[in-house]
Amino acid sequence: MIDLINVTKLYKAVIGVNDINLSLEPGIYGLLGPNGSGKTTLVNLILGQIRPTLGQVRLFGQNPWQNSTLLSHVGLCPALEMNLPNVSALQWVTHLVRLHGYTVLESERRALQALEFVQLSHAMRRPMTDYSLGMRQRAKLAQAIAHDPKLLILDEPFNGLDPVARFEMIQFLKQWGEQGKSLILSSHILHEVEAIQPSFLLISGGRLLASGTPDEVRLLLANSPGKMQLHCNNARKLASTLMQRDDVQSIEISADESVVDVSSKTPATLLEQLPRLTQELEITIYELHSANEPLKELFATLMRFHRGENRPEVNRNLARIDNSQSTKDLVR
Amino acid sequence: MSTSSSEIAISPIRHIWRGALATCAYECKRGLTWQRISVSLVLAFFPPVMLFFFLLGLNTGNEVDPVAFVKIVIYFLVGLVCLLSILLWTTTNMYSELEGKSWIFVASRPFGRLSLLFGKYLASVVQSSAIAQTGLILATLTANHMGVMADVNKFYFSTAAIFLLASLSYSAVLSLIGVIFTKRAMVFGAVYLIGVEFIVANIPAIIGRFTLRQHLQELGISWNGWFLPDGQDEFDQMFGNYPDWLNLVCIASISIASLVAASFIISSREYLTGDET
Repeated sequence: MIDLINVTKLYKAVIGVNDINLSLEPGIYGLLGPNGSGKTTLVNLILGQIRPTLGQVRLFGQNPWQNSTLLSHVGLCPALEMNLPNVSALQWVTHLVRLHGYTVLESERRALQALEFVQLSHAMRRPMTDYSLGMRQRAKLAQAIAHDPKLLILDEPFNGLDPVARFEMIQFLKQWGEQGKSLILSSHILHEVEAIQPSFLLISGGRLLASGTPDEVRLLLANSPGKMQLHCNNARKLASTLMQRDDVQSIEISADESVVDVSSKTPATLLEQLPRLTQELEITIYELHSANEPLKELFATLMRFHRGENRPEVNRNLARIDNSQSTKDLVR
Repeated sequence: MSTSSSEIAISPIRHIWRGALATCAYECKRGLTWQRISVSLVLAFFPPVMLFFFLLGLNTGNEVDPVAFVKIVIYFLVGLVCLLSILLWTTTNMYSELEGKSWIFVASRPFGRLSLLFGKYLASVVQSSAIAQTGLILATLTANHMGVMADVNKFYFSTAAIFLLASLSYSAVLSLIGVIFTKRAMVFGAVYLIGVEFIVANIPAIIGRFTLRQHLQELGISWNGWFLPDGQDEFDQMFGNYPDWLNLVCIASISIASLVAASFIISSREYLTGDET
């Protein structure tokens, strides 16, 4: 369905994406990466909106830059917050469907159907400037699905959605996948993407760092260095015990001696052993939470690996994933 | 949601034509705001109101031929509002899409870029023609009502045709400017109109033949007749005198060349909004 062969995109001196090799068969994919990692550039390359500086892009076997008819099979819901004064969702979606070559009547029929599907029928004749962020998101989704594409690309689709709308969006995306259609979901929040059980593509700094199933990514996350914060009744005692461990990199105790900040190379292992440890020390832990975003830490680790600053535990982890059958592409 | 297949089989030309009509209709509907309608009305009423005041102050005791005076004023004022409306709404064809962040929604459709270009061009022709023709009708009626021009039919129809040609051709050139300059397009459009269509068009040399105004001016003289008391010989000596068909070919060539160039640029250029990385 999508092939990227040694694709690099430069914006003058800035690297958009860097030497990406990727071959995606029809399916559900989660494109995961921090803000500014190159996700939108990758999507634009796939859609033929920009030309690769180096390498080749193929969409359905053809060059999307040279053949815009391929876009009739693709629905795009970008992350951009558009500003469309004096236009209702019905007018806007109908207009965009008409650009696919449909007649006015057919376009309106499809627009109505799509707006009903995203539950925006009640407000579809109101100006879009009056819409909430969630309503605009629904309108964007409606224009992406109204022409019944084979491939749906969603860039940060959960932005601005309330919990109910998020749940409905997840249900819709699952349903989309069950229909045998393809989906690329770009996001910087792991648990949102995880909910639809896609194959992951991890991108950071313009590089495709890894790809794999949710379990494989979870494994990577669990063994990536991370920080945690422990609220307990004897911080000094806990800190002195943890300091003796090889996997602990740093420890900090709060001024009131109630909180311990621990930085560990393998937080998952530490968490496994923590109940036994606290029992032995007769310490009560009131609260425990991650002090930083695990995904961010994973990306940092993978980037370090790319730069050749790999450490044994990360290598072992990556090697495990590399050997697994379902991994399509791993750190090159 | 269940819909039939997204595949529709129509030729690229038909696809672009449908897309352009859709864009034109959408842009015209979108333009029906109080703000835009007010600006359009101000532009349309500007020529008759100004003409009215000019005629009130016209001293008939001088050697000024009132008919020639009225015709010159109408040409100037209607031409001005026609060009202003094109400048306002055509040169921003790309800028408004990029600024409103709606570009990617259009560009991610088959032939979306070309549909946008031609659709906005058609919308510009419709809007500028509507303003120019309204202004012309009202100004001609004003002149007729005030007893300056008795026979308005010939003048009206020949001038209406000139301004229709002006809308078609200037919209094409300013569409090209809008596609090239996505920032400050209106400034570049104004620079083009003043520098090329005003200054260069007055140069009695071959370079002036590359401007639209010289050809429109000659067509105006041909269709409406030389209405100034004297000076036709000097004018013909300085600017030459092309046959009508050649003037029409030149106007069509400049317009088509501008649209072809704009199509090439819009299809091959990477337009990105600031938010994209």
